[in-house]
Amino acid sequence: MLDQAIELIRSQTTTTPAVAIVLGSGLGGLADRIDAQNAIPFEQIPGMATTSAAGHRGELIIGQLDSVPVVAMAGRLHRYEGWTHAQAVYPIRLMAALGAKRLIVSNAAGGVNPQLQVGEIVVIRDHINLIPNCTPTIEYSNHPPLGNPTARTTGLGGVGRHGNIYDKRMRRVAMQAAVNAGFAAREGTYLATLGPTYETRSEYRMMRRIGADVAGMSTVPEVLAAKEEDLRILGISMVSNVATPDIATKTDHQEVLEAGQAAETKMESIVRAVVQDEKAS
Amino acid sequence: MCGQLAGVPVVAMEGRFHLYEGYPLKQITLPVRVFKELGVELLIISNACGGLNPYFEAGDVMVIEDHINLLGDNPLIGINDDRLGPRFPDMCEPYDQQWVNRTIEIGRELGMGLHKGVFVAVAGPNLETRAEYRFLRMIGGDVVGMSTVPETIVAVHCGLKTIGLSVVTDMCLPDALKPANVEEIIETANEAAPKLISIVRGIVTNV
Repeated sequence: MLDQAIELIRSQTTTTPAVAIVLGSGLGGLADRIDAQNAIPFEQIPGMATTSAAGHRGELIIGQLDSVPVVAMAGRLHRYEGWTHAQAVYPIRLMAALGAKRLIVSNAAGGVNPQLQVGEIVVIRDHINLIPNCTPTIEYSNHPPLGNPTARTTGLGGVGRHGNIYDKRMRRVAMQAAVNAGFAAREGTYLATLGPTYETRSEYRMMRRIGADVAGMSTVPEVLAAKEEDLRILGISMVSNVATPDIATKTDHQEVLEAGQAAETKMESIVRAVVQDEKAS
Repeated sequence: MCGQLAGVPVVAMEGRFHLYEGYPLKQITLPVRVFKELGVELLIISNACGGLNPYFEAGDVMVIEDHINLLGDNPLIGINDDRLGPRFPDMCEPYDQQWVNRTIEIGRELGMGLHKGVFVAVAGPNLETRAEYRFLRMIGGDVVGMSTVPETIVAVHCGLKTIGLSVVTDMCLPDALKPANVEEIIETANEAAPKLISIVRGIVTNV
């Protein structure tokens, strides 16, 4: 399936991407700003599922961002949509197989850390995964990660114990980009939940207590797969709503989308800076 | 089961299904969708649970104020039917706050001191280890059980107000944990039944 997907993509473009980007909430607009692009709808790619979340469209885009070859996913697959882990991370395997060496992934997340405000950017330093079953199918684990045949594999996909999932250099560049552009960004811990319900106030309190700064329903599955593929990873969260567990306040999905639009320029400036850095690699 | 309770038309489920029995959550929660379609305005859910809060005792009833979902699953996973409810339901008040307060008052009128607190849902079917009880208490749980949360999530999704009533059938204090005695648990549940019935009757009369 993956081979057929690569064949199809190669028939349309010979560009070898240096960076893979998952255009989650806040980066939707970037899709239109990738130059000289080939956009391939997900439906056309063998093995790929299609998205349904409002605000996300389903295309794989290969092109140039400030003269750096990139592959971007416009639209992503969430576990709450019913996809298995293998289905949700298939695009990551694909982008790694196409040659990408770094991954940038964005998301909208609820602010758990009481210091956070709506619109702030959090550069992910670490994560807590509360999404169950983030392992490849038994079938899959007999084969090495397809993007990197030399990566070590265990029955659980070879991720093992890791000190540094989120690349130090990419984080540093991201934080510096925020300083240069004059907006607030901080490093933090992203907690992944299954969703699709937003959190109860008790769940927010629990998350705060166990050390989360932001919480969301995506990203970690992709990150785990990217780690298996030996990609260097940057994750950025846009705080779309803040948790106020002591006051019952409804989260509005429309508000989340609007906050995403407002944070777009910030997210984009970080992405461009990180892509530009290490241009040759 | 459809009929009248204290002169109020009600529909009731005798017996329920649990995730630990192997049923998918969509199947377990289907009755809640049916209730909504039938025109129900208030859902009362009860359960048996282990007490984490050291101020609770076996036989106490707790009105559920909030919950923590540790089931590792959610009945809304899959494609969302927008006719039934939103894709991302807000959960800031899954149990109607006004009904929580009214239920406590009803309890008081009946001469019972009802607790209110946080229900943690786990999949089971095993009971928890002492380390797990400490963890569950630490994260803010007052009681732990293996049901209810799926039904509440669907009720929130379709806009049905919910009251949750937990009967503490045994205490789970990690530093003084007795092995669970099934007969005792069932006995405690049976003893609490009349209490629960009068509370439900009180709620229904108050609708």
